[in-house]
Amino acid sequence: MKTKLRVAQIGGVLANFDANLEQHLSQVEAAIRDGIEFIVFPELSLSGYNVQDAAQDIALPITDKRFEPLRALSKHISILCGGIELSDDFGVYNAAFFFEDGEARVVHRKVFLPTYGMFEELRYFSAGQRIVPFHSKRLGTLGVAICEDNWHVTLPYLLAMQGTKVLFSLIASPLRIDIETGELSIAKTWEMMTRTYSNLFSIYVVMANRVGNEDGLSYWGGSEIISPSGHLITKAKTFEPDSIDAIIDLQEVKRARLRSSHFLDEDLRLFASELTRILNAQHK
Amino acid sequence: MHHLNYATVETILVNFIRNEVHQSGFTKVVLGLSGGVDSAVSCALATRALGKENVLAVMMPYKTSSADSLSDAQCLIEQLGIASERREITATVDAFFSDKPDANHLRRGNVMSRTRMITLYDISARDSRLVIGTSNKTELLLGYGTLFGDMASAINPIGDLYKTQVWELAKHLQIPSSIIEKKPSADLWEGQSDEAELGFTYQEVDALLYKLIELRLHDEELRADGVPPEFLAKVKRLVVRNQFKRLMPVIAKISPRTLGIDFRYARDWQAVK
Repeated sequence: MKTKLRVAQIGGVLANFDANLEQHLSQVEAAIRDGIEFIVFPELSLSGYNVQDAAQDIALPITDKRFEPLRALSKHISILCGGIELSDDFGVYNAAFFFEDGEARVVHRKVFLPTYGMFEELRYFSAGQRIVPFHSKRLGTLGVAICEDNWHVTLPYLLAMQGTKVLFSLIASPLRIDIETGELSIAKTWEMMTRTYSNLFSIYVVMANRVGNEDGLSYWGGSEIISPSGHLITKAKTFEPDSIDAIIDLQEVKRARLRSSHFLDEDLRLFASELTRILNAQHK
Repeated sequence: MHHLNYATVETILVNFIRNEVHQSGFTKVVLGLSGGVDSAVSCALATRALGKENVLAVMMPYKTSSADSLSDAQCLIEQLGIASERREITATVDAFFSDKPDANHLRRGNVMSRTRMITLYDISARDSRLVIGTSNKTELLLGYGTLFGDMASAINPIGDLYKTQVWELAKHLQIPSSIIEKKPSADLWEGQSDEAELGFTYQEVDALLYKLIELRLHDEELRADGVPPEFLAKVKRLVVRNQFKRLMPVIAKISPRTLGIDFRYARDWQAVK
């Protein structure tokens, strides 16, 4: 199964769903014209990141008719993007939306909501409680980890153990310069993580970061697609809107695992029993 | 104080200015150019971000302002190829104090600073230009600036850089050396010197602020590090007592949604364009 995939590295209009939707539609239409079969956008691409109280203002259930244009276009292309979901219980989630074959699904709710330093997500969002892959007719079993989710090996690990072959890291990473080195080391850390996960789990990692500014926050871009052997396939520019394309070939996952079967040797039962032992020890 | 990669800092700040100005609905900016290093750096960054045709530098001397300040500002204006205006504030300030002959340096300095603010915001309204800030992190932390005066701006590219970092960025941006090497001064009265007024050098206070703010060291750790207790007490007092200058006025909470408390939106909130 070979699929032409594109990462749309865009900025956003803060808390303006209509303006962001318009940008998505023009990106998706261009991708369809270019023969792309699967397009990915960054975290909260339909809303902007630093939404604060606007999270509640603009949260929508996935059944809302305002998603209709994306549903319609998804008859020609699979679309994965970020948005704010209003659940049946009126919970507000930082979520990943997936559109394929005219249907819309919420495929992930961000589990780890950073609330430290410049981040205050727990104030505005509820935390996701499930770590499960989703299915695409074009790419099979897929997983999403939204930004901070990637800083916990829990998500990539559990997604890979459930058959994920392509991990989508949708992020909105605001930069800060490392005070010890004077360098933009946050970008280096992300490069290390994407390569580490692809190596450890022998899967593709597709990292979609945004660009632009929201007040003082600067988003640095540098989206990338990493092969199941941990090699860079393509990388977007820093600081500027860009798009990167790659052919995703699931046979590459097979070849990586034939060369080195370390991931297949992972022992879920051992892991579970050790977790149980650790939890029991903590309760004593 | 650690050194930064100033090529990266330049890229970040140039993108910041361009994005923030454009998404605020502006194309042009205005800023006060004093002849000092802070406004020179802001001005050079704005010019790189927006193009020389979109930056207006305003020189606003008072009769006692140093002649070097003006010639240094002029030198930068020529280097950058930007438009400039010279707006004397002497008549306005002297008229204000004509019936207040006893006003001290502080009051006079504040009125000069606020007269410059009025001048910039008037040009902002006249030309649809956003006002670019020129306050660095050291002076914002120490409160060494006039509230609603030189601290007023729409966006401030250098507010997260200590003074010593501004000097290094200035070298990277090839600001004329006469601007970088001069003794820092608010130039509000003849012979004024920041470091004489504050009682310590920027090198000394930046080294301490770095430990206090970035590393969050405790008093005992700082004293063990050789920081004199009086110096520490003085700087901590300035940082804490000037918090009011860094925030909007305090609003008394009555309703369930109070501005600044639980009505929280970014300045870049663009729900309606």
